[in-house]
Amino acid sequence: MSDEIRTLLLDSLERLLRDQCTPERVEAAEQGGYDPELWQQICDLELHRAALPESQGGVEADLSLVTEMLKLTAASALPAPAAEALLLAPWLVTLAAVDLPEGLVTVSPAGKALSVMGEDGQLVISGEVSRVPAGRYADWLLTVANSGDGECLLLLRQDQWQVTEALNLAGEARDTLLFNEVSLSAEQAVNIPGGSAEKLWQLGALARSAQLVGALRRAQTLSHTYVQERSQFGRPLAKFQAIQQQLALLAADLEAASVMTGLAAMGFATGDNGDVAAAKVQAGQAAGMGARIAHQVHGAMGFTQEYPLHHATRRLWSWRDEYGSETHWAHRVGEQLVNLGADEFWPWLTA
Amino acid sequence: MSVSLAPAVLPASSEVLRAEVRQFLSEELAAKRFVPGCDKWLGGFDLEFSKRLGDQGWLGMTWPEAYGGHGRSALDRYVVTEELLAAGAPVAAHWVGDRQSGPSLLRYGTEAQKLDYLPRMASGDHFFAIGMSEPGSGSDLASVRTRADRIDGGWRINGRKIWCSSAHRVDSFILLCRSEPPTEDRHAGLTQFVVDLRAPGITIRPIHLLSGEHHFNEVIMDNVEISDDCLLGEVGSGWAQVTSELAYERSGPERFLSTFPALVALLQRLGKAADRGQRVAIGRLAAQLRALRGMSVSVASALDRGDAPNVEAALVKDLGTRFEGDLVEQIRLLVETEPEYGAEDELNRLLAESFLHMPGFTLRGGTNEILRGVVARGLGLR
Ligand SMILES: Cc1cc2nc3c(=O)[nH]c(=O)nc-3n(C[C@H](O)[C@H](O)[C@H](O)COP(=O)(O)OP(=O)(O)OC[C@H]3O[C@@H](n4cnc5c(N)ncnc54)[C@H](O)[C@@H]3O)c2cc1C
Repeated sequence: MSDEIRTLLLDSLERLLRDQCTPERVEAAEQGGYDPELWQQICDLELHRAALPESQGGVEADLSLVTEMLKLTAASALPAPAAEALLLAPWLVTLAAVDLPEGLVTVSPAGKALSVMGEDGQLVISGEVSRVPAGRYADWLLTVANSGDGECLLLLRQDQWQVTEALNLAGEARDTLLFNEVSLSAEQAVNIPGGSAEKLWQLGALARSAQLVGALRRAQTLSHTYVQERSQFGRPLAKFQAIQQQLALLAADLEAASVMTGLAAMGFATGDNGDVAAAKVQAGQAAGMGARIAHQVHGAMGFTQEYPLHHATRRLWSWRDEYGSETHWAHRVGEQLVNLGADEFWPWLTA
Repeated sequence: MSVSLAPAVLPASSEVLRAEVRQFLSEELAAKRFVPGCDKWLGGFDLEFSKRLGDQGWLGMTWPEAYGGHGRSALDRYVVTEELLAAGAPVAAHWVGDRQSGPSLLRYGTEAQKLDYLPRMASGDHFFAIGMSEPGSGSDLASVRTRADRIDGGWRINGRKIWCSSAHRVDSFILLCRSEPPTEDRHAGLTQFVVDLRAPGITIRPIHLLSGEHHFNEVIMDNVEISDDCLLGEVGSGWAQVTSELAYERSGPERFLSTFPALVALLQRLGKAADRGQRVAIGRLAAQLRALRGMSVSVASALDRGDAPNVEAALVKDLGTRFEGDLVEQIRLLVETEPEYGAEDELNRLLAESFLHMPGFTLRGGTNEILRGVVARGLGLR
């Protein structure tokens, strides 16, 4: 993947978001968090295919690039399931060597909750998949389930489920999809290598980490602008050392999350070395701390619906708990280290 | 916004070196030639250990061979320093010289100064201290009052330096003086010298740390006469020079690894009996360490490319030095133990060393408040 294509993709996405994904538009898509026209414009640029192999009309965008794209969509609070459609769905269909379905495709890591019965080619599924991003809008749900002979990718169609609506703190749809003895056609269940559900979980955590970094960048940018424009005691807030120190703390946490997310994206292909876990821990931690500081320096203005800071901070408060909280990932790292033993700690850190 | 930390990894070629350092350290430990400790880059002064590192070629690694160095990359040096820190090795004797005085000499020194000092520093035979702070000048370093007055063929120095780490047992220090009366430009009129700590007119008085260790010194200079050969760099360029020295001082892995041995000892003590809460806490600390190391490697890579990541280094040092303290605060809550200086039990001993050194973590090399000011400026807020 050449630098040229990289720049081209990022520039075109950035331009589209700047021109079209305005705070008014984000506000208008509250209660569900989906703007179909805006999403169509993303698809018109073929960005949803970028991560696919060339044979499927993609450019094989690597993880570093796609996570950069997710930072941009998150910074603009794009009302669409960006992580699912730009990264997770292309990754799953590439893994299973099937075509990306047409329409809005979402992904859930919770497919294990489904019961899958029957023979190969004649499967029947039942059960619920909860907290599905954009569930009520999606044409397709991709998820990984356990069938009789191992893990399989399920490609489920909108007419096969019933929706119960729910929202995350950012007003993004996190719906429950109910499957009541649904018969699948042969193409709807594809065997994939064991361990794929785990990989999907990790990739989702990486995607959310990138989104957290993007949303926190937005909160940071708004804060910097605000403290330079707002004056009290006859000078801009930015001139007060207390404000400067707070924003330096925000920057430190944000950069830690950003570097760790970048490393996790670079190393993802080579296997689980703890980088994804560390990224989600850092990003989750930075989200809480950063949101607090951003609101504090904004005073009451940041607490309003009118001012766009909440488009970033409500996403921070939501995304940090999706695909595993800091506790979930820290526990995994802790398990790994306890099992490795004290002597292997430093080698683990430097591997 | 001008804070930019690009994710970077160390080159595979450095890993051969890493294996050599680990081998060396395990032999040293097997022969009981040192006891691992916390904050040993400050408190672990061991001339013989430093000498053995010199024999290995691990001092002055990045300096040209013509000056006794080894012409290796800054990232190779990074690997050696992080291995030594993680092992809690006693590296204090050479730390300052290897990290900042040597590079300053290399950058600003005369040919004669380089040939005189650098080979002896690289072999582990000559050591340096820092002569910046004064009783009236801490964070506000530009306000130093130690005076350098011109005399025939040299300079006469009068003044007092304070907090000079290890000045009572090393050989030289780089001294920041005011060589012209202050003007409106506070940073003008400052000059650096390389001064022999045994020169006539110098008195070194101990200042004991709260742990009882003799680490700090006050260095009093009463009509100390030095020759022109001692001038470092340009007359009047002291501020720019000291700033570049601080960039070396601020950017290394010692800014987040000072208490690392305590975390290893915690894992050792808990073993597989660690409960869920302890595992979560260990995992969280390990995740933070991973991120800090990633940031630190990013800064090291930028330095290696010839960039000047001063803002980034300040940011990482702020985060890293807070982490060093948080780490041991967390450990004590996880195990409910009683730290004891010199205790038989390793964790209790390491915790004691950490707590009694903790106040220094967020002060030395520029306080965290000053660092955040540097970051805020980098962010365009000042
Ligand atoms: C372990 C250790 C080793 C050291 N070794 C050496 C050495 O070898 N050689 C040497 O020259 N020096 C050395 N120092 C000195 C060190 O550089 C100074 O301690 C440091 O620069 C701070 O100066 P100070 O102690 O005078 O504190 P001060 O500058 O008096 O600061 C006291 C407090 O006020 C805060 N403060 C000061 N100015 C501001 C401001 N503008 N805005 C906000 N807050 C502010 C500080 O952050 C700090 O919290 C060492 C210090 C330590 C702790």
